[in-house]
Amino acid sequence: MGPGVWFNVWLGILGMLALASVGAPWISQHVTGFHPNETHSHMAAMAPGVEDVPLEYRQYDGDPAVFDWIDADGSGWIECTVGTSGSSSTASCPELDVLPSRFRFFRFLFSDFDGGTDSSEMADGRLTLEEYPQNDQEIEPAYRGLNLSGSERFHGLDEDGNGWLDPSEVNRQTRAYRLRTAQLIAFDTDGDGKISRDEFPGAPRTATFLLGTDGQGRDLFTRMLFGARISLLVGLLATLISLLIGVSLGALSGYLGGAFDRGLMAIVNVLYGLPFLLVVILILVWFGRSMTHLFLALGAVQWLTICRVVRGQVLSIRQEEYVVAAEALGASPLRVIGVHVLRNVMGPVLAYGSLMVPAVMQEEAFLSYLGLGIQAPDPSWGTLLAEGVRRIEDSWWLIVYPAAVFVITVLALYVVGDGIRDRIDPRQSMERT
Amino acid sequence: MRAFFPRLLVSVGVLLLIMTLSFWMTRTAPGGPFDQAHRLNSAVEANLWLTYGMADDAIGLQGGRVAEVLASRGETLEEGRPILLLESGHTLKAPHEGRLIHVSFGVGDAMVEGATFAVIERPLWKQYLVAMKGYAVFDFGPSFQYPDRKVESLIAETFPVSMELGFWSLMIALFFGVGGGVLAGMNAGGWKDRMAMLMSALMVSCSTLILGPLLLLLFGVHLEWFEWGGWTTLGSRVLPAMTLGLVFAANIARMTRAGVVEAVEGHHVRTARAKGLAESRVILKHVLPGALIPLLGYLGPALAGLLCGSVVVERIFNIPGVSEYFVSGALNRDYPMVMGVVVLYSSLLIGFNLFLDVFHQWLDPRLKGQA
Repeated sequence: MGPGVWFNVWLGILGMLALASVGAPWISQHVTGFHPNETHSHMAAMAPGVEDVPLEYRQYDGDPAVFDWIDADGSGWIECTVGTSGSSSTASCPELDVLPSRFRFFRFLFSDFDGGTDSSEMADGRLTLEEYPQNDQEIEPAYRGLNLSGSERFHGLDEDGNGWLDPSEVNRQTRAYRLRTAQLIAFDTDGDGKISRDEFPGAPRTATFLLGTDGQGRDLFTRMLFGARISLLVGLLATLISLLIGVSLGALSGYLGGAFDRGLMAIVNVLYGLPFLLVVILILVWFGRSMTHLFLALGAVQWLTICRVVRGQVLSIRQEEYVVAAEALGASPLRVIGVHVLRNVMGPVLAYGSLMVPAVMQEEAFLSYLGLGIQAPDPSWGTLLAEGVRRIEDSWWLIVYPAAVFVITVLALYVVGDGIRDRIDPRQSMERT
Repeated sequence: MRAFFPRLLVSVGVLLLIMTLSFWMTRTAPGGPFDQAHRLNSAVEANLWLTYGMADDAIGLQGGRVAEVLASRGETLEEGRPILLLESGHTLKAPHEGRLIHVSFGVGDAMVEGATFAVIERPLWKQYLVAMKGYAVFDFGPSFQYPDRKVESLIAETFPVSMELGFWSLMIALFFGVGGGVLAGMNAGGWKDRMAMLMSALMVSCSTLILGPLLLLLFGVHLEWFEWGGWTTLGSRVLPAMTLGLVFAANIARMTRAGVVEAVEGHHVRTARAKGLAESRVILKHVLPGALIPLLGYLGPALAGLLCGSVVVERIFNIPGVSEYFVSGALNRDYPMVMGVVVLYSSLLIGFNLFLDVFHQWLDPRLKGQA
C-alpha cells in the first residue's frame, strides 16, 4: 500500500469521527438511547454491556399485558386528571402511583442485599436466591405487602434461570415500574384525560450502555460522542482564531517591515519562550473560566508559528515581479496584501492550520483534565480522561476507551494534516526527510 | 561572547515584563481580595494591604481622645488632609496622598501616642517598586489559600520533587531518544528504523495525558510491577518519569535520526571507517557529535514542554510537586501563588535557554560572529 492509501484510510476515519460528533444529538437519541448528562445512580461504574431504561429518550415495547396489570380496577382505562397550576399543567394518574415505590425497592436491591444483609459474602454484582429477601420481614416497611420478596419473585426476575440476578436483568424485568405520568400523558392522543388500551404504549425498553457507565452512572459512549463534539469544536474555533491573528499580523509585519516588524518579532520571540500552559492559565484565571475564554486563550498562544510562517512567505512574495508591478501601478498596501499576498500564502496557512487542530485539541484536553477548561457536567476528552484516572483501579473501561479514541483522533488529524501539507507544499516534506 | 550581553539583556527584560504583569494582575484581578467590587471587613482589608506592601501605616504623633472622624473609608485624600480631630484640638493628618483604607479609631476612643491611626494606600509606583523588590528575591507574600503560609515556602517545599521528576524524565528522554535515533539513523530504511519511527509517531500523538494513565493501568494497577501514587520509593518514580520522558524521547529520536542520517554520509565518517575503526567508535566519536548539535536547539522548547507536562503527570500519579499548588491556585484565584510559580518557571526557562545559547555557540564554532 502506498502512502496515498493510508492518507485516505485516515481521512475516512476522520470523516466518520466528524460525522459522529456532528450527529451526536441524533445518535444519542436514536442509537445509544441515553442523554450524555443523565445519571443512573444505581448503575454507577458498571462494565460495558449493562442495560437500563433511559430517562430522557424513551422507547416503548407496546406490551398490552402491562396495561392489564396497571389497570387495577379493570375499567379498561388508566384514569388521569389533568389540572393546571399557574402556567404549567399537571397531571396525575392514581393507578401509576404504586410504581415508583416498587422501582425504588429494585433500585436499591443490589446495594441493600448483594453480599447479604450481614455482609457475610462478597458484593459481586450477582444476587443469589440466598441473598434475595425471603419474606417481607427482611425488607423495609415501606415496601411490604407489594409482593416484592420471596423465591417466587426471584425466579420471576431470573429470566435466564441461571440462579442469580444481575443489574441488567433486574432493570429489564422491572421496566414497567418506570412508567411515569408525565411521559404517559403524552400518549393521550384524543385528549380525554384517560389512557385507553389502544393509546397505551407498553413498558419502556431498556437500552445498553455500550461502553459501560461512569462514576455517576452516565453512558460513557454517549459522553464520548459529545466529548468529541466539544473537543473538535474547540480545536477548530481556536485554530480559526489563531489563524486570523497570525495571518493578519504576519502579513502586516512582513509587508510593512521596519519598526513594526522588529517590534512584533521581538514580542513573538518572547512569547515563544514562555510555556504555553502558563499563558493560557493566566488568561483563564484573569478572565474567568468559560468556553469562550478557552477558545480565546488557546487561540492566543497558537498564533506565533503561523505568524512567523506567513511573515516569511510575505517577505519572499514581496520580491516577486507581479507584486512590484502592482505597487508600481499605485495599488494601496491593503490591496496588495489582500489580493496578491494573502492569496499566495493561503497554501501554507491551510497546511499549518490543519496541523494546529490536533495540537489545540491536546491542549484543551490538558486544561480540561486540570479542571481549567470545559466544566462538568459537559464532557470533553479532558474531563473524560480525568474521570478515568480517578477510577483507574476499578473501572478500566473509563480510561481505555476514551484514551484509545482520543489517540486515534489525534493521529488521524496529524496524518491528514501532514498529507494536506505534502500536497500543498511538497518542498516542506522533502526538507523533512 | 559578544552576543551574550544583548541576550542577557533581553532575558532580564522578559523577566521584568513577566513580573510587571504579575504585579498588575494581582492588584487588579477580578475576584481577588483587592477587587473593590466585594468589600472585606475594613480591618482585615487593611491588614491585607499592609502585608502585600500596598499601603502605609499613618502614625499619630499626639495621643488623646478622638472628638471627630474627618474622613471616611475609601475616600482619596491629598497630603496633609486631616483625618482625626482630637479633643485636645490637634488634628492627625494624612502623611501622603492616597486612598483611605482603614481608620483605626472611632469617636470617643482613646489613642496613645505613636499608635497607627489609619492605613493609607501607597502611591502606585511605590507599590510597584516594593513588589518588584519582593519578586526579585522570590518573596510573593502569603498565599491567599493558606494565609498563614508564604508562597515561597510552599514552593520551596514542593519544588525539589518537581525538579527530580524533571531530571529523571530528561535522562529517560535523552537515553531512549538518542538511542532510538541512532538505531534508526544507522539502519535507515530497515525494519529497526521503521519500528523506531512508528513508536515515535505513536508517542507524539499520545501526549502525557494518554500515556500516563495507560502505563499506570498496565504496569501499576494490572501487572503491579511498580508502586504508584506519591513520591516515596524508587519504584513509585519509574512510571511518572517514564511517562514524561517517553513523549520527549519521541521528538528527540526524530531529530537524532535526521542528524545521524546526514552525518553518516560525511567524508570524515567515510575516512574513519576506511581507517578500520570499530563501528561503535565511529558512531561515538564521529557521527554523534555532529548529529547532536541540532538537538541543543530543541532542549529549550523541550524544557518548556517538560514543565507543562509535569503538571499533568504530577496530578495523574498524585505526586506532591509544585503543580498541585499551581493548579489549585489557578482554580481558587490565589494570585500570589500563581505568580510565584509563573515567575519560577519563567526564570528557569529563560535561564536555561540563555545557558543553551552560550553552550551552543561554544560548541559550534560556525555560529561565532552570528548575533
